[in-house]
Amino acid sequence: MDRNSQIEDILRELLQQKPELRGREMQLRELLASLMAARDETTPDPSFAKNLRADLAAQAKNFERNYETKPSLIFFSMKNFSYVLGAIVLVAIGAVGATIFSKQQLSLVLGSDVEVNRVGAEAFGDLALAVSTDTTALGRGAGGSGAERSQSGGGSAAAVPSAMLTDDKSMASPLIYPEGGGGGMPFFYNYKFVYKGEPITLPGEQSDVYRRVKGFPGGAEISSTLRGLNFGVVNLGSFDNLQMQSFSLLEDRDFGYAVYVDMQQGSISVSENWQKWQTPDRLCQDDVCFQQNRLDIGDIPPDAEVIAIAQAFLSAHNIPTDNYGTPVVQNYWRHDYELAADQSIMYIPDVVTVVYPLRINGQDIFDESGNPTGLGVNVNVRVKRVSGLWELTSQRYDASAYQNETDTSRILEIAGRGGFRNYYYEDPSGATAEVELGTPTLSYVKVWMYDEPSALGYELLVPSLIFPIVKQPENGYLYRTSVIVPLTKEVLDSDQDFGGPIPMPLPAVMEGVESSVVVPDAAPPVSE
Amino acid sequence: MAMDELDLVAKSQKGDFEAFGALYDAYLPKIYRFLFFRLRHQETAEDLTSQTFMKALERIGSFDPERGNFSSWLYQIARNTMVDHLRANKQVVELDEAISVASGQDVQEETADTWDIARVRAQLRNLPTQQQEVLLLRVFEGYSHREIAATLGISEGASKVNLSRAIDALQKLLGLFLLSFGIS
Repeated sequence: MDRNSQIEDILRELLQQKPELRGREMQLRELLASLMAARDETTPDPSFAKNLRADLAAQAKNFERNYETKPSLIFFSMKNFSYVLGAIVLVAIGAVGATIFSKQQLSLVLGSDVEVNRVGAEAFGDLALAVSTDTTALGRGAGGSGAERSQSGGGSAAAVPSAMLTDDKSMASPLIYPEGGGGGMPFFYNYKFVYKGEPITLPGEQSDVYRRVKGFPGGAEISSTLRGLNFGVVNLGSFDNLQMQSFSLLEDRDFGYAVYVDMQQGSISVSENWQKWQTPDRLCQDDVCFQQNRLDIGDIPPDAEVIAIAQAFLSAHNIPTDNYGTPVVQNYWRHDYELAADQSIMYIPDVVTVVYPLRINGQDIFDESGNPTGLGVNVNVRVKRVSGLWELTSQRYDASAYQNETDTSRILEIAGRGGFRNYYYEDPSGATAEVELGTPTLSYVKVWMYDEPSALGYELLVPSLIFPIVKQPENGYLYRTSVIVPLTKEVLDSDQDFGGPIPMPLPAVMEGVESSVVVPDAAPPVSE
Repeated sequence: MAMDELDLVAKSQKGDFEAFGALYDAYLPKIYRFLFFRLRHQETAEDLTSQTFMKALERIGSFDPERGNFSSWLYQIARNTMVDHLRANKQVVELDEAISVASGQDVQEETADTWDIARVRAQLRNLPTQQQEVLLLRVFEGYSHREIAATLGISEGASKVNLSRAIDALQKLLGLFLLSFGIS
């Protein structure tokens, strides 16, 4: 794949993930091209490369000699362990101008209340196809990703190692092999997920899957107003049925904000108006300057202070938090920092994220990694101000019943291999570390669904079991707090095709949707 | 002679060092970049690169293509080696040395275009670690999100979100750079 193709590939992916980026494709292409250009300049010293190759050759010979007398060494002797928004961005100023010009009080209400419209069973199409959107399968390098990979021809299709359920309390991964080789620190950890919780009770044969309804109620009103605009150089009224898809507004002051309203997605995000955020580090042109402006751990305020900054921002802008749980600070970087022998070289971020976990009918929503997800607020700790906000979305959902997996052993088996779509490579030569899973809670996991024909993305909330990790090795490499297993059978089935080709195109997801009836605060059938 | 990666792995497992050498030639720049990108110190990056390939040589026999691809396996060795290093060693980054390495590698540093490239590179380091790693593997090395998930032990969704946030942050961090090219 040449560089341009790779840029287009990544761009397409970014637009799927974040449709509000539509209209900024040119900037993104420039940025990606700059990044790729930046890559080329870091190469190993040729003499180092040559010397290491020679050292490896010598070491290989040593292994060979040792093997003649000590066949337990792995090199040469290991047997094969076989198993195995084409968005039209109407000018933001136009939107504002239209509102001011017409002196109308337009009301675009996202709505802070959760609304659930019940639709027919399996109305969102085949979820087994819909949630599997990565067109590049693991190990299928040919024609996949990156020009430099073509020579290697890709690897093999990888299979998630299956684990056999030994009993209700314990799941043994088959990846338990004696550590071979010359000893020393293991450099692989294989994780044996052992269930230590209570017997699991499943909710029944069917549960609702939720799909967020996009768009702004009342959006037609502003579109109608805009259609009457005549800029002099062009009369918008001359176009047919113009619909506003998004607009952005810039706050013109120091540390001002950029507010982006995505009418199509029904979401609002806030970011820095970067032209007005000039902290010293932003003006750096070289590494010396960056080093001088690096933050120290002492610069990070206590979590309570960060949350207070976030909360003050939300309050000041009338952003309700009724549908969200207790805010938490996401500071995963602290894991590496705390374990580092020399903490002075560890990166200290200048932005701390506060997540207000979305709650629907009293249940927290999680992401695919098992972390609470919802309204995100970034706090820039250099200036102690909120620097961004995302996932402020409408809370209107269609609910459609789907078949659940009712086989407890299958659910435990998937949990035993690390959960849904756990692709972490495991190596039989590595050490095996035990990870203990506690009794799961029943909640929802947000899964992205991309509809290829319409080029639109949807958010699905899939009923899932969240197994908390209650114990894990201190020095391992696992950076997770829980393991998730979706209950919806079709979603689970989508995980079976690991490494294989993903059928495309995806089904039209709107087919079969029955008439919607608004049922405010309807309780989902899934409960603990 | 062009050889399929799987063939190279299989031959390496049977003791063919030329095959392992071909894998080494293909992956050395990537592994070095990965480590240097995080450590910003030439000697340490070289040392850990050496350790990575020595470990790979020692354990190539245990690699099972059914479980994942070779690159994910190798990157995991590199990453775990780096994590172990950071946990176990005091490291003094000699700033001048790091800078001289970075700039010394850029033979076109004097030109206006690469002045901006240097800035891009510097700003990359201002991203959170996981965003750096995802961006490096996806944009620099062309890995799929599924492969990145396999390498870093995160979900595919998390990989996508990390890339999206990294790009978002870089857009802001490089705002002046973009403006200077009239593409803001």
